[in-house]
Amino acid sequence: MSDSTKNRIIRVAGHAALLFVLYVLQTMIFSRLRLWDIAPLILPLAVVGVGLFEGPSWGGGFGLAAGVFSDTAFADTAVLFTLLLTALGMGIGLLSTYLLSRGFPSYLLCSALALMAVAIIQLFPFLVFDRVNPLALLRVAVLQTLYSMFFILPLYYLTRFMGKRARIAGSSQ
Amino acid sequence: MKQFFKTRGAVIGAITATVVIITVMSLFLTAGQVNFIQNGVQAVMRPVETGIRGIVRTLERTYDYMHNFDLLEERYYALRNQIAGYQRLAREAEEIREENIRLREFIGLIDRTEQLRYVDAYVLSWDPSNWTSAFTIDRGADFHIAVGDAVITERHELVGRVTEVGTSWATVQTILDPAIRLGGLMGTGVSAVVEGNFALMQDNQLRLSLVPGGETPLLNDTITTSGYGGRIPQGLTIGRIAGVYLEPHGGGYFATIEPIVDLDRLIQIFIVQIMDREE
Repeated sequence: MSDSTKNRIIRVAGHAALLFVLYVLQTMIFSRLRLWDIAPLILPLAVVGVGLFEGPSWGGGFGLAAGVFSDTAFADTAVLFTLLLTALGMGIGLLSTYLLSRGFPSYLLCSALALMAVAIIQLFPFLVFDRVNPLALLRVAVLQTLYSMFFILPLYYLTRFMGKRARIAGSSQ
Repeated sequence: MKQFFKTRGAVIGAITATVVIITVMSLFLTAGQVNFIQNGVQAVMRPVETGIRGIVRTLERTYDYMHNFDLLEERYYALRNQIAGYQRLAREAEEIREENIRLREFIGLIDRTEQLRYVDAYVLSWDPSNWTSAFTIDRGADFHIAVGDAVITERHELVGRVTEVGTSWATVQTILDPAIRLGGLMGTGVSAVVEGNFALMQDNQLRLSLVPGGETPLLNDTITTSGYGGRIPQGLTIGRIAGVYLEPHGGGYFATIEPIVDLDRLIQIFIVQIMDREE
């Protein structure tokens, strides 16, 4: 087996492990550890990180896998997260290739925007079809975004570490 | 950019194709069905969920044992007295039941309870969404669970209904979910609609709507299922009326209901299956 293949397998395994751990945390731990009855969203933060530090292919691939897992865990979504997280990973990957610097300010900005976008998309059907009081929706959207932002720092370091390792492995060949 | 697509075009194309396939597949699924990818993910994750549930349960039990021993002892003696009372009632009920059977035979009615079958299940994991109230259980199509089946506790309190069925798992939408809507009966025997409401879900409540004109819901009145339509049997306890209000646009009252079931402490639940006469 060539070094390149070996590195790729290790890289895929690393991403699979990251996804598995985050999925378990999101669905089995944080779904019960609620603050103000709100659970955080952590998978989109990982997708932003992988997209930013590893480019559109890995960002898109990781986003696709994270989206499929999320749609399985969330009863109210069919393909929402599959579409959203794939586009997010790929889009941020493209931006980081040509426009964004791969540092904390970019990660913070992209994560905050991603979390807000997810919350707005989630509240949209309630606002339009069910005509729910916008304040009740806004409260959940804001709390979900704020609680999720607690995880920005650990996921920044984790995804940056994985991106760095991938670059080192790639340049050593 | 051209160079970018030259080198990574195949990967991006493959990802896009997968997304399109998943989206198209989900468009052809009817309500409650799951695609094979979701089914596969759940099948892989089930042992992990079962393991984590076991660990969490052990920790909860240890905590409960250490902190609630005195309270449990007190409740134990209170329940013993209660049981003695129930045993007396059960003896009386047995006589009434036998009389009921004779009378049913006499007028040619079919006993409805014979049509119900119960399947026990455990809660695997709660839906992490803040926009819905649902959980996953460890029984699915392999136990003939069907979309719409009622989910109850051992005390016949309504927990919710099944909305999605996989091979060995199913999703249960709780009575707090904004999308739930079912027939309810007030203590006076008047029927109304029990429905989830997003704003009320945040306060662990649901709504009693379409109360017939002239009827006023009573505070603390118990609401049960009416059994009209769907697969939810009659007589399951939903909750108690916590507040009565005038409909904003006139036309009678609506009420808020506090569920009887403590959703936070659910461990084991029962799925009620209404059997067809032929089964």
